[in-house]
Amino acid sequence: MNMLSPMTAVDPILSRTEVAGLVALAARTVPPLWPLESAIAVNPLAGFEELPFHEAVAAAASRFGARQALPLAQWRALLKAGRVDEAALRRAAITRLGGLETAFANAGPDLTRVDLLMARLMHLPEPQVEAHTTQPSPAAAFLAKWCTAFFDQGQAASPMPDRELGLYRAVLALAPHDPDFRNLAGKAGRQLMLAVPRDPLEAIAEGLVAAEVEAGAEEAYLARFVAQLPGWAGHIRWRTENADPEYAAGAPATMADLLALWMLLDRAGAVPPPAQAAAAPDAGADLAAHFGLADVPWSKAFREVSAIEPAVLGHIFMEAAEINVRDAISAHLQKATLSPPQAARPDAQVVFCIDVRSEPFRRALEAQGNFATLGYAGFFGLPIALHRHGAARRNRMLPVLLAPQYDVTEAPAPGREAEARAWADAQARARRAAGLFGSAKQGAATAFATAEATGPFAGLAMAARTVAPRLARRIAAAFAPPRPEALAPQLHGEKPVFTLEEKAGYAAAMIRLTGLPLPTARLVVLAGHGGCAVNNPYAAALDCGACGGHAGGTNARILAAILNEGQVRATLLEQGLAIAEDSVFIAAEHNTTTDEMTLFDRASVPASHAQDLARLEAALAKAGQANRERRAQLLGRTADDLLTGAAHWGEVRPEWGLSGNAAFIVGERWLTEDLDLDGRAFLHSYDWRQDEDGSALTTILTAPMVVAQWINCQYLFSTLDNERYGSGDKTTQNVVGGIGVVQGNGGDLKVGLPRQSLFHDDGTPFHVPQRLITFVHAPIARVEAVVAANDILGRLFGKGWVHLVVIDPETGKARQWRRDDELAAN
Amino acid sequence: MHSSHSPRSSQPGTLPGQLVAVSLWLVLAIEGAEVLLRGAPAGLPPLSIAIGALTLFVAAVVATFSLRYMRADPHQGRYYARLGLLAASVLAFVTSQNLIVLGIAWLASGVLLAALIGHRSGWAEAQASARRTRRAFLIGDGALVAGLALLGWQAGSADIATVLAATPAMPATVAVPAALLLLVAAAARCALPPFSGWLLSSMTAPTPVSALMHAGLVNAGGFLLIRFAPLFEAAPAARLAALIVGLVAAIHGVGIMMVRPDVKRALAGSTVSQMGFMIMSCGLGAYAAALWHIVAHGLFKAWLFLGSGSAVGMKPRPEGRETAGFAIPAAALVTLVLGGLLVLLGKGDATLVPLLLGIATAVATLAGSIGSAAPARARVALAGGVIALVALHAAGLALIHRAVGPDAPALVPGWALVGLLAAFLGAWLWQQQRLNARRALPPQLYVHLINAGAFRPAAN
Repeated sequence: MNMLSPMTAVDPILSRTEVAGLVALAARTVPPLWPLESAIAVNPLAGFEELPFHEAVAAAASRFGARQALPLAQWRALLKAGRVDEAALRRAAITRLGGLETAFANAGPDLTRVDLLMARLMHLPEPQVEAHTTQPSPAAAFLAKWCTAFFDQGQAASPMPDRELGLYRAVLALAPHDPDFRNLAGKAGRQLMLAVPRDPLEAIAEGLVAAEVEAGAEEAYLARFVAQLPGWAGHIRWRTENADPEYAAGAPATMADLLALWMLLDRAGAVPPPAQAAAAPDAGADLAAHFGLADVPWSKAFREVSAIEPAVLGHIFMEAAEINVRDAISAHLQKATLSPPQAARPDAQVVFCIDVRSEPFRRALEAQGNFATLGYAGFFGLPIALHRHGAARRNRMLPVLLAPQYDVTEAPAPGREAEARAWADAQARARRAAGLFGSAKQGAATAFATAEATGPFAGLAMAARTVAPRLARRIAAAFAPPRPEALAPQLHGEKPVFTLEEKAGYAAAMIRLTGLPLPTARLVVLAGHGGCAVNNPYAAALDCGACGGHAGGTNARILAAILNEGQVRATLLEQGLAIAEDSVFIAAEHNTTTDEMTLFDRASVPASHAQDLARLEAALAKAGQANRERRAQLLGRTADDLLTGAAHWGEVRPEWGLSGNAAFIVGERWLTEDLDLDGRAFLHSYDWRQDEDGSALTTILTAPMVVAQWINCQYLFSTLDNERYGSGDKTTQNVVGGIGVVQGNGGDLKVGLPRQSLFHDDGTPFHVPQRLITFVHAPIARVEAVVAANDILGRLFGKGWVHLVVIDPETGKARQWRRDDELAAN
Repeated sequence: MHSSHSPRSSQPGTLPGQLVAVSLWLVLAIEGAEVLLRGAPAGLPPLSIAIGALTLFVAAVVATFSLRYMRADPHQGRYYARLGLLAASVLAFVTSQNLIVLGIAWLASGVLLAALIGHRSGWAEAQASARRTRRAFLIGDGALVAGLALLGWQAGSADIATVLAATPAMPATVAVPAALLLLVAAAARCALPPFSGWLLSSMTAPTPVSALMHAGLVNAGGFLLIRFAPLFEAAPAARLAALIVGLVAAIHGVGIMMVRPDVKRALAGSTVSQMGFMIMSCGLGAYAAALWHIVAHGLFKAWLFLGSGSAVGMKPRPEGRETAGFAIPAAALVTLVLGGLLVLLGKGDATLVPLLLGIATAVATLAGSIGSAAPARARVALAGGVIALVALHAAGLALIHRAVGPDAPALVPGWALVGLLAAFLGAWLWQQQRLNARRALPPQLYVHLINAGAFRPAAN
């Protein structure tokens, strides 16, 4: 706390530029938070990725007041359910103890260290160390209230005044009228409010002096404030770094605005000092009692084991889960690599997204006949933004690592103008009706009759959607029909979107990155994917992350259209990439909630391929049925109930999404064809023989794999501490500003995933929180070169954020990448 | 690679949930059939049947919705038990013919509702919201008990029909305090100022509970005023108080709704406003209009709450400018002139204000649908839809009117009714003109509205 009187004028030491730099560094404490309408998985600990994994978890836990590991009781339940096995746990425990020698050294009467550690893991009561307060401080609640009002995107009819001044100044303008501010900051705060600079950077500079923050400690000082409202801070990062500028139009805000407000409250003494985490009690007495010892032994070994932090126990369980997955996949890949199959031309090749939900569907499809499947990033390599017909804003249909290069407009497909117009009319009518309703229900004179006149219809609609949701959806579709296929991405308008070279480039990229076997089959399907959920704030989290949290059918349509162009094929041929003359490319979209597959532009498939298409469609339907049945078991429901759930407005878990994700496999499909990966693996096709210079591997590891790591970390941490890193229980969430959700009456914007997406109904985790294991089927030297050339990979593999296992195609040997700390220990 | 399989069931939900949901639908079907075929039981007013049916219907929908929505809740047994008992307690007090039963069931419903607001037991904010609700209800329920006791003592009977028959003869020194006590009880349940806080900070309740709360529980206040209409008619001062507190709540609630950036608390603001309007109608003596409002608004609000998960999506511009230009001033003017004429013709009865606000809504919405930029066919379809709604609304109101019987004698003179009408229309004009001009509210007013019912841990 500062000892100066708040009124004392202080001269800032740092310049605005220096403060801006510090603010930018402090901002990295939280990752950008995407709005739920285009939900993107991010690692909530992205700001800590410079640290080794376990250190990062500990540092973030103290920053955010979060847990460091899943509670032991949860892990034990997973063990009991067979999701982690005891042998693997013992192995992980031995490794943690420093190897066989120390693990089996005597630690007491007839006891080894590993006996003691296993007892702590499996039987001893969980030490209660982490006092978990979900109650935000009054200062945080005050700022959250004003952030919620400021960032609103059209929910409130009458928005916050003075938003054009920016967040900091708008709040300063209102605070004098706000009793919450008076209660918080008192008289000192009111005086300060008049005196502080109106420029947020200057205010921060002054605040740093007033708070007597030592040189070099400023970033940490600011980061503490960023971490107190990770949701709203993350939203600010999204707005300033990732959003189109129009989202911030009329209401500018930067992290400096938020921090300047925090510092004002801090100077007024309204921010409580950070709570110190209590030290964990020693488990010695419990351990001794467990083994029936009269006294706590004083051996070094005993003390060492009894002093192990509770969080470490959770980490050992996590490592055991990782050993389970690593060993199962690694053993299979080693065996498979020694017997490559004879390649024959399949009836169809189907390219899916790498998404873990594609894997079981691919296996089900392969079982239906001579179909080959591949995995590629679901945006099909196209860096586009899509202007949907009738939509006010564009959608970024690409991974958030990239910026859109092309703007694609949606327009009626030639010959289908009437269909598109009918839809547009219905759409306009529905929008207009919704607008009239929205206006009438808020009017001071019209609200009452509006409620009365629409009430009976509301009653009917409510009953129908609850009791007969599928029927209700069909009826609703009559008034607001779903977007028809007649609206297609337009590539050849007045100004073509792509040049011929660009088109050939994107087509070649897919072939090179996936090692798509040439010549191609008679049918090649490019399948994007999307989820299907009703009245569900997290609906977009079920869509394709590679398409920026949207369904990926449009990207598939564009690349399929490109690959059907004769000129493109001719250009590809010049590059030695021979698309078979009788190949027809078809775009599709896999509905991951219902396992139905929609094929686009079927009318453009030539009659010569009608039979092939009919066979494929039958196979897709059967595969969908089989996969739906499989997924229904995981959800504890019937396959038919999945279709009902996809239409039901009360369904909180229409599908498991990417829960369970654990592995990322880079290699040809025949390596994993006979292995049931149970929907837990991202599969990226890759043929090391076609990638002499390692450029394809570089792309795969630095782009799709990084996205997979974000997803993996989001699921991991959302499970590990669902209140802090996840968004908590869905049933008490409250949508704010059209952006995201808060819990109950307000507070911070929630990050991560809700409880229902990760945990069974009985509260045990469905998602086993574990780190991604990447398997690469390529010569070891090549993988080493790629990792050495890319800092991000050195960090992810070296600091233990992702495990890497390389399967050498020539020897069949599996080599595990050593982490930095393991290397240092040798 | 193994994953865990849950035990499979063909129906969503747990056994307690299925039992409660099925029971509610059965009771609704059986009781509904009985009333339709054999008519209402003797002594049971249409008021009780309408609110009872509404509560049962919404509770049945909510319980069925919960089978999926609450599937992962760790305390489902408790949840469904309370839900079922809550519906039962509301049914008990709306159908009760006895003051003591009414009082006990009313108290029970408050306890159950507060418990459901605090359903998430490990959550401090939920517990604080539940406490806040209990405190508000303690005052309201205390007033109810005192009021009912006073009436029972004065009439010498706990039978409601007997009490109501005795009210015209009661001295004003008894009737006015008794009516005011009941008004306090009603205001607490209806979340009218100064009791709005509990409702505005009740979002710790799971969504389906909010749906049932806004459709079933808050109506209890309106029920009370209509059930004891003869008492209020004997105590014009209490009617006047109801009119004033209702008017304040109606306008205040609209303000709260306008500024809320979160969907659920915007709906709560709207409920405060709607309940204010309904209590105001009761004060005026427009019983049929008030009852119709209770039923229709209950359905409307439950539907909006259950659908509140759909509010994700950033809108390029705020709503509220759909009926721009001359339409609103014109509609307001027409309505006001019509009101004046009706009063001059001696038709200024209790229903005047609700009726004319309905007309203003119809005119403005029709103008909005016809005067839009949409294609002609769409405009015709929209206008047709609006007309159909108006017709249905009128039919519903007429039906209720026939069932409920005549309104109370006029409370205030005709010019006062026109003044009341002008207050709503004026607020509307001011509001719409601000929205159209994209002008924010004055800072002081804005802060007051956004803080209304704010949850302040320090205050608890």
